Amino acid sequence: MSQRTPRLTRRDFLKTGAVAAGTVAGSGLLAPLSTLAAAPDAVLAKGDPAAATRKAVEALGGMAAFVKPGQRVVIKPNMSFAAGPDSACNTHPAVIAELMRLCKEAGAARVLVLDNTLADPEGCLNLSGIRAACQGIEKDSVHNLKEERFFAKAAIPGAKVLAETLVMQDVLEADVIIAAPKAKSHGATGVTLALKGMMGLIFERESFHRIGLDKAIVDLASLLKPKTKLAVIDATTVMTSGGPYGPGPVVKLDTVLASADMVAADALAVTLTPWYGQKIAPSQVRHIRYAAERGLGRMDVDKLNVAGVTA
Amino acid sequence: MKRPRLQRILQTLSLGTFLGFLGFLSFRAAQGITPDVFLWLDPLGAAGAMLAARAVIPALLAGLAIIATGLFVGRFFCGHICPMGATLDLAQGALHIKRKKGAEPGPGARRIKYGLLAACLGSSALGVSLLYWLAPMPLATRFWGLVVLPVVRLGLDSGLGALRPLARALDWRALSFAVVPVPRFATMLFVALLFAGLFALARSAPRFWCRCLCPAGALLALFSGRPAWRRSVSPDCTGCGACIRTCPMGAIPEDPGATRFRECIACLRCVRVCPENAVDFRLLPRSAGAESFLPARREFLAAGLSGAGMAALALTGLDSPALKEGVAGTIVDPDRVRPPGALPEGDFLARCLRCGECMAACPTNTLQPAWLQAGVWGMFSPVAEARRGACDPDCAECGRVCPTGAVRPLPLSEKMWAKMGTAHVLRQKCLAWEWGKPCLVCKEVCPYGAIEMRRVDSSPVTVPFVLGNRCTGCGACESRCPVQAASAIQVEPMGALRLAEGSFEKAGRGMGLDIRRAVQTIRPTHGPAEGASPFDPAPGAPAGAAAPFDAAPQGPAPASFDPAPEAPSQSSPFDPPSK
Ligand code: SF4
Repeated sequence: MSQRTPRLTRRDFLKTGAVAAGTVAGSGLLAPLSTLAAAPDAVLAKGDPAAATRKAVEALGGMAAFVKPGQRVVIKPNMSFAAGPDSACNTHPAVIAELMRLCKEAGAARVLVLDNTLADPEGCLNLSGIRAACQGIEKDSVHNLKEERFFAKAAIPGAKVLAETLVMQDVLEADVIIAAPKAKSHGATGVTLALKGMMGLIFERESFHRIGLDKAIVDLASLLKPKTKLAVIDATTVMTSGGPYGPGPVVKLDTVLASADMVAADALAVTLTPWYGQKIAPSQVRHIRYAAERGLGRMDVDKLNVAGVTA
Repeated sequence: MKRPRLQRILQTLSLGTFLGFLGFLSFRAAQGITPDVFLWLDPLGAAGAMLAARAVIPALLAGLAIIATGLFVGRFFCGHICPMGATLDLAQGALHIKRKKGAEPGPGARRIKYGLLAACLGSSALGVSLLYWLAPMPLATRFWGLVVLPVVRLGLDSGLGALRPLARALDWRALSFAVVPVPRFATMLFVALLFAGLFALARSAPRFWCRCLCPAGALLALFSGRPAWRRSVSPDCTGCGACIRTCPMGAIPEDPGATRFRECIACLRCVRVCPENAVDFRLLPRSAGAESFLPARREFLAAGLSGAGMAALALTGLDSPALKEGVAGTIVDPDRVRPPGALPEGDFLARCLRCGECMAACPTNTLQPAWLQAGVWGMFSPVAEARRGACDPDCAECGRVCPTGAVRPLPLSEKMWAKMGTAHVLRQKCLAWEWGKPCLVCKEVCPYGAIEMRRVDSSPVTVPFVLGNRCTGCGACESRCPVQAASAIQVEPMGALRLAEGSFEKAGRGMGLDIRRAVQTIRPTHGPAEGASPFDPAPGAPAGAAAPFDAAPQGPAPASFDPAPEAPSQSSPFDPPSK
């Protein structure tokens, strides 16, 4: 636990970071942390990817708060592109590896890292560095699943556009899902974070673009939300426009963001830096707003209890 | 009846090697290890392709050497090495195909093969290859590679699927997540039926194909009039006729002391079956030959001329590969997208054996046998079918395995520049252009960054444009476009770079291409915002805030695509802030 770490306000945090973008986060959005007795709603941890990940989770109460001994965990990274960490379009392998380590320390029975990428599956597994990073922690744990037999039908009650879809069997049977996306811009949804990243856990995502992308993302999130106990967003580097893979400018924020509320995590991530050269409020991102409206989580970042820690 | 040992061993070895190569090549892990040398041995493929291409194709010299073996061992190749022969023998045995009495083909039928040979060579002489219908190795490759292999793989994959519950229960990860990709091919059923027909012919005579139809066999037969190592019968022969009844080729005439050497494939059955041990194969024996049903010279000539005539038709026909593409009056099917590094179309068709080796080796299954996309004369040649899969930027197997160089072997850095065609957006189908839906899948999947999303007046969302000089025609966009049935972005052979020699990169740069892999490496912070912003301006935002909605700074957007004056806020992915 990080009891000794001085707690910072988000403003302090962003100021101390060598991030000019932080100033854009707008004074109105920042609220001083009042009650620190309870675990914060979200944590911003600064440092190198692995250390910041560990610190962020510790500040939320430690992995034990999310993963119980014997449980099955699925970590959903972003490894959509056959490219290394320098490309800023996949989750940093050290973030995923550290999460896996934390899960094992918390006594997880098995931890899988699963995705269904658009790009060549093997290329993604190899070049992202994620498979290699996890190999030493749990064997054979990182997979890119594309065949229909790995998926099972799931109905989504109350869905607006996605009444049912094929979801990875291992996801449906998992006790805990950890969303571990890369923070980056996205030409269709503005940003792609924890909510949007869930599209990588289903069999057929192309149809989202036909039936209504933002609503479908939220429908899927409503299905997976109960199991998604934790969202850890890799904002160590952020492609702020031209995403999902660029070319576009990449800012170095050296930040890992964690929250038990995936909507809050996304909302907070939106305020970390300007996107496409402008300041964006979480409510301007449709899928985030829809998710908040449907009660999947909070997007009122100025009322969130955010802790800042440095690794 | 027991089969002679030597033949069985050699055939097994040979078919095994053949299948080994083919199966091996189809695994990604085998990429770059070895080409299928077996395919180099086809005598007709070698002679015909070199004649048609008017070039010495080094790999195929092996095939010419096989022709020369006729002088020494007759049609030994047909009996022991040819995978087509082995396939026919195997099928006959496995399917228990029984011979029908009285259906034996007569001498006339045996002459057909020479006619087909002449027709093949006649057309090749005019530079048009008809070999693919008849050359045995390409036929066998197509059968095993495009029909049997996918079925075997399907079986393996289904097996894995069946084992999965068990593997999951025991948490055997490697097994539970294992997959055997199953390729599918457009003309599979046709090839299967063709072979069913060939197998059925065994009811008339075993190896009916080799006796009557195979032009490669005919070519060898021409050199096998009196091979050095041949059948010989000792005076112990009682004339019982056991060998006559056994000979699969009908190579023994009524007098079993003689032999039709051009028909004999040296399978040695007669040696084994003779109760008197009177038959033997040896070097330069004093043995009698018999009439071998050679066609009259006139027939041979006529067949050759008819082949040439077909070639002439091909050369004058509407789908002719001979006319230069781009020349007015030439018809090119928009679906005829060739593999990267395919020679200019005429040369390509002359060389391509339609063996399907490239298709069997293609890891994404994008390479498919053509039906009529390349004209009647281009049937079964490889075309890239993007809806099936995209050409993988990290693979150049097709050129490496091609036995004739119809697809040039290229290193990856060169292959990238061997432009297959150009993608174009069908705006009236596109979700973004026509329906105003936020979609950028084509941009997302393009490995070359050849698609740019821009703002236009007519759509509330950013819409895709293809940068023609960065597109290599791989078809990633077409393969993943979420529009159903035909994709809203399609690759056509437009702008394809087809070079017989020289560097693709050099030629490409020379014509203004700028092909490179897209994914960037990290850039300095605070670079300029790139690409059109997907966010709408917040109402009441300062005027400056509208700036990022301009067309992409470096994009060659015409003036008419300047900032949308008042983009409708409703349908944008980013709504204005509430309050
Ligand atoms: S636009 Fe891109 S994905 Fe489409 S064919 Fe061209 S290079 Fe391939």
